[in-house]
Amino acid sequence: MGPDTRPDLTPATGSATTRYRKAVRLVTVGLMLAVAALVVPASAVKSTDVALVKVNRADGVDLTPDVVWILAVGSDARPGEDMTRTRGDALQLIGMNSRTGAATAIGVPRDSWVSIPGHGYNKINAALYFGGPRVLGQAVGNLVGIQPDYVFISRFKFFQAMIKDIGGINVQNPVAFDDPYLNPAGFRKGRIHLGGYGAMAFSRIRHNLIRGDFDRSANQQRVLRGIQAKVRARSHVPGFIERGVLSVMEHLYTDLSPAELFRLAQVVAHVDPHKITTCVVQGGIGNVGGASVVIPSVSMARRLGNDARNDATIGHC
Amino acid sequence: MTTSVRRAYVSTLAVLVLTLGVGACSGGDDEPDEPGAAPSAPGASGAPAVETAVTFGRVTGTLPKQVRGRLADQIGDVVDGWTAAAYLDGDYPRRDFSRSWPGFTPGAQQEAHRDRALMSNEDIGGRIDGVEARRSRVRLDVLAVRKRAVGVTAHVALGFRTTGDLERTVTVQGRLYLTHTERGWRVFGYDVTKGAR
Repeated sequence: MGPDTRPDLTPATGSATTRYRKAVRLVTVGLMLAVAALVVPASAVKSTDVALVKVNRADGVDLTPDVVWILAVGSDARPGEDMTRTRGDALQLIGMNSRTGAATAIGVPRDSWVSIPGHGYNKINAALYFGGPRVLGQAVGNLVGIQPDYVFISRFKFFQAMIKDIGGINVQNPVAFDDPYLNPAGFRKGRIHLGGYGAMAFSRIRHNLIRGDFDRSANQQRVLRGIQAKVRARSHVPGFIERGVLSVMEHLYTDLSPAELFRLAQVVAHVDPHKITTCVVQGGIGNVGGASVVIPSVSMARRLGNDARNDATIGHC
Repeated sequence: MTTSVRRAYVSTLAVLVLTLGVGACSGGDDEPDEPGAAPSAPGASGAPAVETAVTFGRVTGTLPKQVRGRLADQIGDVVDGWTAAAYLDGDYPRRDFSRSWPGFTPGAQQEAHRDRALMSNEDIGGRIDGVEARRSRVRLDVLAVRKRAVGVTAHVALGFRTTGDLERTVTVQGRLYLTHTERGWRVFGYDVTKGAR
């Protein structure tokens, strides 16, 4: 993820996959989740004042197909730059199962050295610069073995604002870390509350994380969990989802129809936090032309993809 | 015997007038507007019908007032279609609830069928000989784009009394999520509770 946030949706071109022929669309998952919590209307249907002996609950959302895959990308675009033509620094392939309420995120280190369709080998985050969202989606899809249905791109300025608007998020931080530039005071270990800037910094810092890019990717997943939990907790508020979708449309470029966004937002809100699984594709550290790169474990990436493809659930990392 | 529901689009203005006995004003996109849709026909049973009150909650975006009445009618049709087919209508004792979700998308119908004990009277249909509607309310939160409704959350509150071996007051309430399809408004998701006393 990167500073300043304006997602973009670019229609698919070429013939990579049926899904891409249908649509490669850029939205911002995190942004949508966060924007969805901007406004908290107050009215509600009055509940009955009967003494219920037994109350049961049922919920379900129909999304075809049941499992939808979204590549959430945090661009490092600086002010004035086109974020769809910069580097994608946060890469999370997110699957959501509308039938079961399960969701998963497969994190890909940004320095992963991979084949970028049409552009030879390079760091995977350069795919956005070289080929835009579609090529980045293909590069990640080829690594994991799952082509995303949608590609969401954000910039951090907007991301920060929305985290702030939803009142921040809570994350479980496994280890204290800091950064002399982004957060000298650092993040303490344990359950911590993050505001807008804090969530951005928490997602970006790798300064003294033991496993660098891998740990940072895991931290991005902790932020995604925090956002989803917050959105789910507030989704019952009348007008909440509707306001969120409209805010996304007002702030982001997207070729998703408003109705599609509405349906997708309802799916996000119905993800069960207890059914979220996350893993980061591991690998070794290498050197290419003097640059430090990650040599990703393709076998692990494919195993994770195969495991989660049909149900958005990973058995183990 | 079964009593059905008929429906009226009730504005907050009307509610205020009725409940407070004074006039009130409305305005802004988050406010309901004046009544627009005529009540639908009473239930087929001919018994005294409970009127479904359809009101607007939050309207996000701009939705012209003349459109609201039509929308209330259309969403009311879908909701009433479900509550009638799933709970209120039919010959009790009743065991077949397979057609309880006429306004749902195919995927949502499958979901609802899995949850049929809640999303219909499948759990008690064989032990009752009638259903009497007591209350039916629907409040709509609307997402409007370019002055057209594109997504609706319908907050539903239905109350009915059962007769027979199982005499209960049952309450069904929750949310239905709807988008407009080529077949009209369809429910693609729900979050519903059902309780009895």
